Amino acid sequence: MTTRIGASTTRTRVLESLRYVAIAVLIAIFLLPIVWMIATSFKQPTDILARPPVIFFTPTFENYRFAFGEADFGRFIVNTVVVALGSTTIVVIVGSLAAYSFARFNPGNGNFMFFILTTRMMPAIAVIIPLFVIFRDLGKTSIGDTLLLGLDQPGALIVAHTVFNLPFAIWLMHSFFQDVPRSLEQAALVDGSSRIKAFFRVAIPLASPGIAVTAIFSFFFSWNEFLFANVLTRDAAKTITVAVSGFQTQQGILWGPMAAAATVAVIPTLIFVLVLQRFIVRGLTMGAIK
Amino acid sequence: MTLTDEQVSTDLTSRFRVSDRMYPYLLITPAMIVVGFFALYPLGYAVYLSLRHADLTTAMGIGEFLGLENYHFVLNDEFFWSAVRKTLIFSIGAVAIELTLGMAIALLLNGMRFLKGIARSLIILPIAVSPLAVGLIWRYMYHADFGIFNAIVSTFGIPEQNWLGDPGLAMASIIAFDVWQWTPFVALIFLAGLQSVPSQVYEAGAIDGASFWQSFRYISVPMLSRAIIFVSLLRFIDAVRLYDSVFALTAGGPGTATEVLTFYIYRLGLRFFRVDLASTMSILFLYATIVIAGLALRRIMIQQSELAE
Amino acid sequence: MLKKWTRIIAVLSVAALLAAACDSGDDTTATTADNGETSAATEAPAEGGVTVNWAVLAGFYTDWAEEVAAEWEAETGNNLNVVGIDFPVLYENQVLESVSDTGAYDILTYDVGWKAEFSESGHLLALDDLLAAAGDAASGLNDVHPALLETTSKWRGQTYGLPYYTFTMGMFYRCDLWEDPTEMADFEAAYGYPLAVPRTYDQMADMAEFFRRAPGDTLKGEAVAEDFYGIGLMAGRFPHVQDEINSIAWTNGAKVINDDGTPGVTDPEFVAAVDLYVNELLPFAPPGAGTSAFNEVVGQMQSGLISMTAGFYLDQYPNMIQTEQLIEGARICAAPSPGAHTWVGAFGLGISPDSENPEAALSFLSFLFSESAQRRFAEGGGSSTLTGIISDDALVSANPLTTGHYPTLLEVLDHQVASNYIANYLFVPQGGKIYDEMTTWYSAAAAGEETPQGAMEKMAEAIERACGGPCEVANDALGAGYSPTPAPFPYDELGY
Repeated sequence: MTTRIGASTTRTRVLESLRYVAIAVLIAIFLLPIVWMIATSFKQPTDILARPPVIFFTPTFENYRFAFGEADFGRFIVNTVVVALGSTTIVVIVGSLAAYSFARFNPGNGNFMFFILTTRMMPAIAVIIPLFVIFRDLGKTSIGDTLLLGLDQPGALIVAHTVFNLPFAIWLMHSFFQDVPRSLEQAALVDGSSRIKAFFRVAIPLASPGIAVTAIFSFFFSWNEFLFANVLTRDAAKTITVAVSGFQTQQGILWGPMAAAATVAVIPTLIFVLVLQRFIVRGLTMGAIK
Repeated sequence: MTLTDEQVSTDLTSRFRVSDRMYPYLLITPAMIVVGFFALYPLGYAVYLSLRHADLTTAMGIGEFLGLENYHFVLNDEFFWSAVRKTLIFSIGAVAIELTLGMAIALLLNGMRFLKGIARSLIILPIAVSPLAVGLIWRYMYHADFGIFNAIVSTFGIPEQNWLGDPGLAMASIIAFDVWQWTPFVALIFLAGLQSVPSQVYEAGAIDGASFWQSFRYISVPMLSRAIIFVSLLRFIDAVRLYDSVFALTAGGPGTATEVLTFYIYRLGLRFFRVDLASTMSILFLYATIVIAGLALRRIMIQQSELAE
Repeated sequence: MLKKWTRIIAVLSVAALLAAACDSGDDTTATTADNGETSAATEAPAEGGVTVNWAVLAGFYTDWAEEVAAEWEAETGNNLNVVGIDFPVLYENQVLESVSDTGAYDILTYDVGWKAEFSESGHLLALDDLLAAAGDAASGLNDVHPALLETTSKWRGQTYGLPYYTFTMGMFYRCDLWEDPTEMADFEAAYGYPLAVPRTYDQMADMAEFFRRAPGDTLKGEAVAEDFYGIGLMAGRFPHVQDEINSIAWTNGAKVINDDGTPGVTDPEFVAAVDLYVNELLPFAPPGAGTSAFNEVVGQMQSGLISMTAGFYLDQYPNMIQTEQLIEGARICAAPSPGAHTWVGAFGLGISPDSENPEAALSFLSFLFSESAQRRFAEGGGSSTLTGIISDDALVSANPLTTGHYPTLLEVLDHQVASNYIANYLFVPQGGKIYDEMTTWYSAAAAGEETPQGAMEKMAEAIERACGGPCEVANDALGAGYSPTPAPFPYDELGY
């Protein structure tokens, strides 16, 4: 009996260490491109186009100097922050109202929700030209002018990202609101709270992990989006992803500055993930997937 | 603060007294307005264009009404069908690998006893990065002469490959990029699902003598069924719309080896400005996605509307 | 259930369609739409001045452009806003703004291949009246080399833009290898003629084969550790592959577009050119050729991987010449590509008809083309289009690292004028679209996805589709005496 336990623990130990080896290999694979990007951003041009690839090299900050100095990267970061925060805020507010309604009352027996979800399936390229024209014309109206909805203005991009993010956000938050026990809200209503108060005081706090995870994903989407950002902005409202693509120049692809720019573009979202990882996992555990 | 807070909500309800019947509709109104105007209007415009001759680069611009002629043309266009085929190869390939690999990673992570948080944080990093920015870096890594991938495979004695330049390999290379970026997301969702299975269930299974495979097949998979449907659907919807990574990695090449449907539509729409054909294809594309995804969604939808009652 | 959704979507789509139909007077192409939208100014214009927005190729000699812009601003009190756009989206971004009449850019940048389309479709303003009014101020423009003026500026007898940067093709080769006695002797023994600058593409293929060395072989008498390749090619799905292959076809006497407007790409000489590229040059290129653009070829040269290029942009000289610092004993020489019937082109600058300040825009263009601005452009590594600059020997000897290719450039340009050869395809109004199709199908042939014959058949189909039948070739603009037959390049007279 004792021997059998001993044997099985040895076997378990071997399996356990194999598990850690496998995970270490996976982490290495998943990190390699990011590490390589960061390494490239510190390389001289000759080390970048070297054969075989150089692993040890003398680092240079020239690529960053170029990206921030000549390519004006700081401004694009500010633009991106404005657009990503703006669209995330709207998505969360508008989306949580709708998701709550769908989860609680199911207006339209699923048809309205299905309709909203279908817009997620639309290829962005199909609507880009009509949207371009819409924002061109909105920019000429006084409301559009005030809300910066014209071409090459952050408002237009915020709206475009909101439209494409909303379906996913509603879908995600919908399941979180379903998990909020109805009885708790009813208790609040009996206490004399209004429906809106019940929503804000009971449903929202209980669904907050899901709202957080939705906000995080919306933010990533907007931060990383390329097609709309490329077509709807020119210069003043250009975002970081478009700027990264701008290093494919007539003097060649400037791999070094591009890697530096890509690193700068990616670092904020990476930090986001590292800091909020627990939140993301908890949010997904509680919601969408049960 | 408390005063204004209460004041506001009381005022709101008393002044805008909304009937119980209208309340749910009121809540979805903002979303419906945003989506209705900015998605439906362009879509309607696309339908309108698909029924006409429209070449924006000519002086004629939007021309005469053609009825369904564009649809007839597109459905007989060999390049369209070739793009459809490539889209399906990509989507099915990528999603299948992501699901399998994602499940394996989730099982690995689920059994971890220490360093769990760090491992999870590091593995999910790819979901946060921009497909375009990092796609361009992957293009550099795939480079046949200067890329790290060839340096890696040659240390293992495998001949160097022309990852993006070989028509037989280019699509696989794009799939690999997508798998890299999205497997962590899939794994995370499966992990979340696995963790929500009460451990007693597995213990009960173990007492009954279930093997690892049996407990996976008869406990984990059924418990995860909703997660599996959710994530396949979500990934499939995104995979068929893939654009950024093709733009960054191959621009549809070599030749037309990776010219997926969205890229073909992009070329027709923004290179040729044949917005009639581009719109026609978009409408067909959307219709097909809705029908396919709708079949899957319908089940979820019905489940959820039952829950909502 | 599904049916019901489909019905709902259908109803909603029809509603939107009606809405769209109602205001179709305001569609994207309404030519009368007012251009009331304010331009994309990021900085407030100086007092009394106007803002001119310049859509320029991203990262393109930014330092020089900003320096010139600052001087012009100081002189005129206007404001110049440089908007960098990367090449992959340069065409679509500008055309979309133009067909939507946004007036976002006053000055547009176009590739020579897009000129006919941009002019014909009304994306560019005919400049003749403005030029006449500007008088002497615009006289610098008259010095643009005639080969470039014809291809890049003129359309149906009018001037639509000014070429400010030429990427005319020649070739680069490692002259240290070509002058090495061992290599010379070996080559002549193997091929029966002396090793020199290739005069035909068949010779180029011989040399590509000859200089392909495997590890252990010798090069210049020394053993090579790594694979060494005979030629560097830009065979990826980028516009460059067509410049390489078209040069071969033109030298063969073949045409992309025949004089009657039908596609010439399925003609035997044309297919033979593609075949030569795919089967006689590509096998001797590094494996990365299939995804390469010009910058990768520069990288291959700089890392000592290749012995020469095929037709290659001479403007890359300042990058190519760095090889001499990076590879011991290497020397880089420029020469005309075989036959010299090659891609002669430039980026042009034109003025948008939606511009609110065409005079100010022209004033900036004139400033950009002034002798002093172009001279600094040349010194900084740009390839000027002004005859006075590219034929300035003093400039060339003073700036060997940036202008060493100018004599070759001048030879190639002069040869185009002397032989009166200009490709038809530059005079087809659908040039921009054909440009895109050529990239696709050449790349398909180079990757082996299609046979040369099969790829050219598909390209012919695509060209006919782009033109809606036979293309209109407006080569009457070329005037009398136009002979679309390539003449031989005077190698002997020029001392090659």
